[in-house]
Amino acid sequence: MARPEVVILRRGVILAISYIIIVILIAAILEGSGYSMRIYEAMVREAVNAEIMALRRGGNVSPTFIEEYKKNMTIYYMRVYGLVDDKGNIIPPYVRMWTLVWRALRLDLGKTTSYSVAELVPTVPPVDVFHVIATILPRTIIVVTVGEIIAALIAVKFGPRIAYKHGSFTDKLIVTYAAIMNAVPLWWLAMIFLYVFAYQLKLFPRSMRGVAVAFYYFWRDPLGNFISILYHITLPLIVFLIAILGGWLYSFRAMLLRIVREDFVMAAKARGLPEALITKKYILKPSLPPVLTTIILALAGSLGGFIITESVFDWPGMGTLYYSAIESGDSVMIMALFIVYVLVYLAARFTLEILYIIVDPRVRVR
Amino acid sequence: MPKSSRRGPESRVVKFLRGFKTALSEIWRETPGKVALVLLIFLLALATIAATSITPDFLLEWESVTYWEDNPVVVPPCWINKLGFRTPQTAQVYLQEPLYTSTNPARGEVAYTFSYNYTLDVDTPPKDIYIKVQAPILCESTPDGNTTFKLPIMVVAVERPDGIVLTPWRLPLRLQPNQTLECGGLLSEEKTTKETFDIATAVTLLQDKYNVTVPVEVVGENKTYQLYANAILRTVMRRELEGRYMTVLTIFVYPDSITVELNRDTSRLERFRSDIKGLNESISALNIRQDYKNRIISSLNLAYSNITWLIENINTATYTDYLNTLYNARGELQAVQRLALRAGIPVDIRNQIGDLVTSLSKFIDSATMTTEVLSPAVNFKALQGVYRINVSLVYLMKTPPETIKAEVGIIVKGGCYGLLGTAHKGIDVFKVLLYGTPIALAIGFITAVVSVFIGVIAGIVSGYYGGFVDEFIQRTVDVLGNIPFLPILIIIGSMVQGMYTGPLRSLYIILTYMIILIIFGWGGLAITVRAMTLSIKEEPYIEAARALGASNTRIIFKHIFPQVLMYATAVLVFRVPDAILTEAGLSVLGLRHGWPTWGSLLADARAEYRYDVWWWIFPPGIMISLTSLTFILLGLAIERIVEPRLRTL
Repeated sequence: MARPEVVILRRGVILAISYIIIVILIAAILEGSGYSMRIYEAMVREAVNAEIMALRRGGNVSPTFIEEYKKNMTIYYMRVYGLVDDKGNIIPPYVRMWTLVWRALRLDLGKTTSYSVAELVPTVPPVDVFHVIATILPRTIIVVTVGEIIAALIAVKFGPRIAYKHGSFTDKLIVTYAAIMNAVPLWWLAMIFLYVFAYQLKLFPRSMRGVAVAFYYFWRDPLGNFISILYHITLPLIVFLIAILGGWLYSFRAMLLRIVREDFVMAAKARGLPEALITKKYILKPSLPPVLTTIILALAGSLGGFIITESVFDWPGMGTLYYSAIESGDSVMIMALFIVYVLVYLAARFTLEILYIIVDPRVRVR
Repeated sequence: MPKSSRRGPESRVVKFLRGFKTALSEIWRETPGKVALVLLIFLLALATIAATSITPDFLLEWESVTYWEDNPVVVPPCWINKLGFRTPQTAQVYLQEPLYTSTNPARGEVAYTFSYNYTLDVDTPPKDIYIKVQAPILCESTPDGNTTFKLPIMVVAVERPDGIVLTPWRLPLRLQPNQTLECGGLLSEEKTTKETFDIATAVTLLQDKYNVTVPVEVVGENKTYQLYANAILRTVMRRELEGRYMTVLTIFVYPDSITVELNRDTSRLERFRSDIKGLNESISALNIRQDYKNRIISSLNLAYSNITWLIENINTATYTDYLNTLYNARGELQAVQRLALRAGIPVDIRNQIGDLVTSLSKFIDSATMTTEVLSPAVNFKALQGVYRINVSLVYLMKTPPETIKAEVGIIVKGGCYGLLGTAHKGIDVFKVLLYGTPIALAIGFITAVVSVFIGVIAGIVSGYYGGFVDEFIQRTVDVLGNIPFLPILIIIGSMVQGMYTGPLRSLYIILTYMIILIIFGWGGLAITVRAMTLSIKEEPYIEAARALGASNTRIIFKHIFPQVLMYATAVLVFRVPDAILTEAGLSVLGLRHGWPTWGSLLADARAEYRYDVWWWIFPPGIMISLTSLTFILLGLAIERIVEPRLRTL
């Protein structure tokens, strides 16, 4: 068997290759297919029409002048949206695709020109993509990542006990709860909670868009903004926790169940060791690798936000950012989001490879 | 030999059926399995009913406004009336047979009357009422051998519980712009509107029946002024009926109470008074003939004291007092106006007098015709009881036929509808839920079957052949697993929105979603199946089969595939909800496909910001969750059967 360093190196290379392939794939979907070009062309047309309307409103202008003006403005806006180069030649989709790939590989995120994306910050374009992500990421972390952490802590605390007493009433209850929560779409649960708590009881706001202001100007009035954030965050966080806790408990139970049936657990039980000790030392510890995998991958995945649920709550987080970037065909922003997401995910997987070696004595000794 | 070969496949079918039966009874043994099977039968029954009754035009037209135009918009289901809520009933009747035919030979008239009894049992009126008619052109031959065409007049008469018979609509049916005149050709009145509603007669009838008049203590004794006051009252009633009751709901209401106020604000009167006083001063200062001056001043004083009297007694004055004062004051001022010319008063002061007379006249006009001075308020209430709605088609004919082929639609939009109420545009929630069932199940099943099939094959191939093929498949799974799936789906989803057109657009969009789901869905299973194949491959019987010269294909399909099949079935069942949930989620995001799915109802609720309508957001979500739950429970039950084998691996 190969030495750990070689294993890690090999995994690293594979992850790097998979990053490159993903980048090329996404660039091909965005630019190679001409998707974002079509959206940009529509935007250019709209902008040029607006300019001509403004010109006509100004007074009587000769038609030949309007034609000339239209041509110039079209070229101007096409340059603004990067559809033509400085000499006025149209850049074909495959060139645009490889430019995007090259920029992505250099981690050059660029600037976004989309109004609906900049509006989320809130500011006006062009705005640095890094700045957009840095502003919006905390809003997702505070709900999704915090939610995942709370759920993970609960699962770590109670999962071993549930697995230890599998078949009991509590166990059956948890399984039922997990099955139901697996069946109910998170975004529908969000709608129902909005109906009950925002529309009927009027305890929470109907749209969470306002939380962006509290985040953006946090230091102007820390206490007031903190309360505002709490007011906005409670409902999404509760819904999210209710929805994901079932899955967490169930998957922990499933992972630990295999260990519970092992002989050494039986032996520990036979020796009369206290339950707390058995669950902690004999059940949780041997199943650390899969447990760690679940937690780390969940945390990495949480940074992407929840596109549909965020849109139901109108929560201005990463999911909403994704969606408005896709809606406005902003390939720079979409690419940047994919890069960040995929990089974080791959980094998490790479970290796991190293962690396995640290945690699992069998790998370490070999 | 031929006999046994015929029995071969037959016994295989029997074997399969027996295996299926055993599996079913295994699943049925535990509670989750029982629940799952009951739910599954329910869903399949719904899907069968829907699939056999669905029409292509429903699929294409269900989002158009006209498809649902007879339904009330955003109303709860009717069974809430049993829970103590009270909403007016909804009626949508289409009558083909006239109830009776009445002829009037003297006038050469025949009327075919269709009627319907509508019961209003709550104290709010329905939301809307209209009549739709399709009636034939009848023909009659004249003595000189020509044919004359007879076009009908539609007369709608409503006999109300209080005895009033309203005739809101009396409309001649006309030819459509490019319709030709022919015997038996159908004329139609699309929908009666409030514009053609005879509101004036209705208001008079209501006023007479309920004796709605301005009380004598407010209006005073003068008969003319009482007529003025009642005319104002009619205007107020009409305005109220046209505004709050959309004209057509006049049918269902009666004036419950009236209050009449005399305007006690004297500011306008005071302005007149000070104007008169100003005139008085400026004319006193003039150097004109004394006798004219005296007469003018005394007239002005009379007008002044008249208005002063009204201001001082404003709280006890009647409408008669008010108008008398104004008329007197105007009379005096007009006298002043006549004298002023003879007295040679300067033109600017004459103009002032003229202006004063004009503005006083205007004030009198508004006092007698508008609610400026006399402001009544009429409060209407819904009249409960049975309404007989008669729609007559009247033809001018000497020799009418016994009966006619016509269709009369009487639509009363109430406050509730059907089993699950309606959404915006009057969409029937239950109907969409019903027809959404087979679509959801088909989407879920097909996606799950294809992705599981690919996963199983890829896994077996990967594990069985090993080497480069294995490496390639596993790395592909790796790359696919690292791609955030939903964003890609959304990008492609918004790409295809504008790509497809035509009647099959919805199908293509949904197929695209399914293909992406399949592409991203087979990876996880391929890894598990590969691991299973690796261990099965080492079993002695595989080696034996190979030694006997079995081909790779035979080994894969005969020996490995059946072993993986049960596990794959469990995964397949677990996978069914995936596509259903994804389709619904994408719809909610606004990536619509145009088919009546559960997700599209929720998408509408989101687009219209109507999370407050429970019968709109709860049922589709419950259907989605119930379907998912069915397959999750079924999967759990199957997994339990498969588990012992899984553990031996």
